[in-house]
Amino acid sequence: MIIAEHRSDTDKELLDQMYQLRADAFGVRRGWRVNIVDHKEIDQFDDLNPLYLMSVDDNGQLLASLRLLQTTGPHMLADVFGELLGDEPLIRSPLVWESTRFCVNTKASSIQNAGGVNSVTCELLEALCTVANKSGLTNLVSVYDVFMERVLKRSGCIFQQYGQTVRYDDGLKTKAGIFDVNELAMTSIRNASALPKEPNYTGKYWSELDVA
Amino acid sequence: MEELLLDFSQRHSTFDDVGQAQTALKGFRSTSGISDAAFLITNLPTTDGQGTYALSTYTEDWHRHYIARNYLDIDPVVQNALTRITPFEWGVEDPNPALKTFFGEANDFGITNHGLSVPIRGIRGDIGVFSISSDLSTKEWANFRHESQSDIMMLAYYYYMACLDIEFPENRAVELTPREYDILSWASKGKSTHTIAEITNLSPKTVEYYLANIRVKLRAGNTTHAVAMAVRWGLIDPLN
Repeated sequence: MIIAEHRSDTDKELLDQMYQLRADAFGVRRGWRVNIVDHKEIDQFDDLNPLYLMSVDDNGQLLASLRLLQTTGPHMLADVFGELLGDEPLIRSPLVWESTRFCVNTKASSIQNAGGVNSVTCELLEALCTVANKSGLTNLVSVYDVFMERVLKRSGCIFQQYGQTVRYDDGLKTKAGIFDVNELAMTSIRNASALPKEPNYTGKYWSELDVA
Repeated sequence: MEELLLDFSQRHSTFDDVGQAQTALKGFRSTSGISDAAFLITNLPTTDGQGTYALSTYTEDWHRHYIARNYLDIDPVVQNALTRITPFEWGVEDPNPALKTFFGEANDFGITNHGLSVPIRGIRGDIGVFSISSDLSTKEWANFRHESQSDIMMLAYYYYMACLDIEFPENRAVELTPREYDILSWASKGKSTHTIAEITNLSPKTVEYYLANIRVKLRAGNTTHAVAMAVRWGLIDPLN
């Protein structure tokens, strides 16, 4: 199931699982320059009470997660990856949120869709687009590397690069992108993922959105 | 709501003082569906330490009652705004007895049951929350919310930015990048999105995206208005 909840509403044990998954995915596997304390990756943006989307299995194990922040305030593209903008203006809009810290627990799930994308990834991307759409947003913005870019394309996401490409520490080319979250985008992701059934949504924010 | 957004942005692109902000709030009440409006901003890094401002169209009596009971500490609207980034409804049944009392008393003072609040995270670590309450029926309110959510979020942001100007005049400064300048200049000459796309060698979708960004930057209700603002502030040359 997919849980959509703010930091303050999230079960502490689940939060810890998420921070540990992030430490593993970014610090260990990808070798990013992230701050890991006690096997957990937490940064200053988590203190802003983001909205987290978390994919959890029936045993309560975290399979994948991401976080959402408003672009009107501090966010990664504005405060960490500004170089990616190049000549483009910074995005500040109440109808554009930023998605970051997307990670998947590849040990816990390995079923893939026709495009070779992990089904958990597909499900989380579909949930992300749905949340954005139902919240009244026009777009999402996100920073990704070329590896993730392939995954996003094969998952049916409709997006365009925004700004320039920069090679950071891990050597992978990194870009910022603007994502569509309209009906067309939702359909595209749904078709590409071809999930056998509708994801099971839960959490305080889902019921508010009338999706559950 | 679209008209309300356009009307607000045309009349109040900025506030010089709290009085103007208060007047604008009162102005929202003439829109069908809106019975009251309120705005709170907190955590402002001001030099005099006054980091919180609260404005509303609620009665003086409610204000006095609110302050006397220290409701800022338990007001669910405030508490929610501090801990979430998403818009939220209030006035729904809550089992918490303190909140039941809070809403019950609010009712007594004429504040209605249906309300929507939009939290805004600002760049200075501040948090704003813009709220509207309504006396529409439950069904009408659901429709209203469904249709107007995005417009209300944009209105909240424009109102927030106008208020920020009071404390931080530099917040008014707007710059257009060379590309934004080009696109808006073509728009000012009446070129359609498609034509602008051809001229600038971008996709129509990209041009639309830039125009949307420019509208937010200039706090404009639509592109025509954005052009007018840009001309007024000398950002584009109407005679070029």
